[in-house]
Amino acid sequence: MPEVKLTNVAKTFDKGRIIAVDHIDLSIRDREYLTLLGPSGCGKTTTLRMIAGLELPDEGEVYIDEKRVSGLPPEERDVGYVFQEYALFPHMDVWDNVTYGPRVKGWEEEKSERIGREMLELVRLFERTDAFPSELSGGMRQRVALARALSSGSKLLLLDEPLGALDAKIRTELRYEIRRLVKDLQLTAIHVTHDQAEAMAISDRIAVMRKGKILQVGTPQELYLNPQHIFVANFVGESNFLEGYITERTNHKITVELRRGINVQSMNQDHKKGEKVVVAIRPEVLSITQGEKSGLNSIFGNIEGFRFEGTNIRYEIRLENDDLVVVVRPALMAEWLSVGEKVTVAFPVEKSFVFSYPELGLRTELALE
Amino acid sequence: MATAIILPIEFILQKQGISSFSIFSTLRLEKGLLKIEKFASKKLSRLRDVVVLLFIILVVVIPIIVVLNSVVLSWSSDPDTGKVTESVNYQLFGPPNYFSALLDATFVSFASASIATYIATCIAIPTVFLIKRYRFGRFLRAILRIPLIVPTSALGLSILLLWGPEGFNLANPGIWLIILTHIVFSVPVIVEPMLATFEGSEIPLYSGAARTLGATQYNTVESISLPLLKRGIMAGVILSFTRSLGETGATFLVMGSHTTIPPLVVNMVEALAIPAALFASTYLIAISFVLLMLFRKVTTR
Repeated sequence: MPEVKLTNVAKTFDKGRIIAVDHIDLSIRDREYLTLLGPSGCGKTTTLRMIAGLELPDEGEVYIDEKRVSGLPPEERDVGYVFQEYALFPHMDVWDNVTYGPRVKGWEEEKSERIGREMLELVRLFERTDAFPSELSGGMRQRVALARALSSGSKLLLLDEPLGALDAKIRTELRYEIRRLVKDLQLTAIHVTHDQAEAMAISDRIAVMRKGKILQVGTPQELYLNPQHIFVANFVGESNFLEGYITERTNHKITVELRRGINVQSMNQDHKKGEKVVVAIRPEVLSITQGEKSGLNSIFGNIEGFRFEGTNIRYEIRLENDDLVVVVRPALMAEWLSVGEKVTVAFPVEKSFVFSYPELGLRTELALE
Repeated sequence: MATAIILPIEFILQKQGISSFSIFSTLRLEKGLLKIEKFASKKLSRLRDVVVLLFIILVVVIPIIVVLNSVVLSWSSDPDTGKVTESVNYQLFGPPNYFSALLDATFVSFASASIATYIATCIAIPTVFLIKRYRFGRFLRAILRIPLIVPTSALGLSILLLWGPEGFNLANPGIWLIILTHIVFSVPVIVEPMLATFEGSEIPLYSGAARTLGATQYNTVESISLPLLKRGIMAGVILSFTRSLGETGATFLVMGSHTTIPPLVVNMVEALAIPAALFASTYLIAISFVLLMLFRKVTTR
């Protein structure tokens, strides 16, 4: 029953000049589908490669099944690894690729063949066993790669951006297929991606990474409804950020004075009076009404931009204090407003998040790299 | 072209102190020349192609044809003097019996080329992995290129001095020293195409994939890296073999009483047995041509 545990794992490249993974702790439960989510260069792939043994950590330990594997080579860790570039052996056909693991492990021929057949049926590619990788489409190649990773009999599947090189439509299809496989075969899966929609759709839990650190680990709902870090609020879903100072606080609520003296209320999350904070509001939480109507957490503004995105309409609104916010409304439900119209945007007190103003500045804290 | 002609004229005219007049006239000249150039450029580009083609035929093809032609013409007697002793047939199979010398040389050539290529390949394959795996690999690669740059006669001399009777006395001049010399320059000849294949084939990615599937490092080299490098190895082997066959300078110094085909040709010319030399050259050209075809077949998909 594979559980994976990382303790204080660190890895640098180029003689310490590039910090890839900066002392992270993470545990993955048995039969869990966990996603490492983060922008490119955040260390997620390096973390995965360290679990597989393709890289060795500079510091810290990796445990698989409560067994310390930090120094072991990949072939002794018993993991299945799916590469973004598929990495199907170009000089072998589909069948030889899929049965490579069993053969190289010296399993009996009968057993190897049975497993090869099972795995190819599982990914629905049994009729293409004679094809070489160069003759297959991207989606098929990745399914072969999946079958190959599974055929080595490992209960731990590591997926490094497995859908990154595929077309959008195939990508969404294949991601549910992978999840179904993982759940049917009762595997533990660790999936690396930079696509937050993909992470939300398939994961039991997500670990959000940035600059070699894990910022938050939680279920997709937890990350969306209760981001603990300002970067998470922006990277998982989307957020508008309004800067201000706390002028009043009670046990439950705080009042934040935004620029030009506009006051809004939010929930108290252990902030001090006078502290500089950032209020984060999701675009889909903001309501929008025509004309100037005052009320709690209502701010006047002007529509500066309008984009019809198919299912949603996306407004860019310049608030009266010069902040710019994005409002997203379902296209069929909302009335369509046009650029230049005066509007009021409003949000419920309990649907906003308050973060301390980041030391390095808001822009740096939200930056992807 | 116009500028090339105008500039010196303008310069001379200005030196002569007739600038006011010259500007006018050179400008007119320039315009005229440009017109001609424009008109000619289309025809010229075709002319350029023809010139290049002619050059190749003149320098590369014709000498080969001349050699072949001479062999045919002087097969039974010299075409100018009519002497039978100066015919290819007489010199090869008659009393001078150069044919058996040629057969001996063929044996030495092929034996030394195959043994040298085989041993060099065995050295080259691990060398490629060494170069790719470690930081000092680039340095190693640079060192390996030295035998390619050093003139072959200097290489032969240095090997003779070091390993020959004057040095460590490892081998007397003869086939074994020939083989040793050929190994020295064959290793880089095989390493280079292998490195090119290595760089184009993403071997580290596939090796990583194989390792996660349970293959040991040794398994990985055997089942992934070497098959992916096959094309490079084959190309290197043929290049090295061809080079061994054609090598003259170094072989001359270390061959002792044995001889390979190219030094034999030189010896024949020195002994004024030109018809025999012509035949031997034809023979060598034919072998090289066959190897070249083989090389093309191996390197193109």
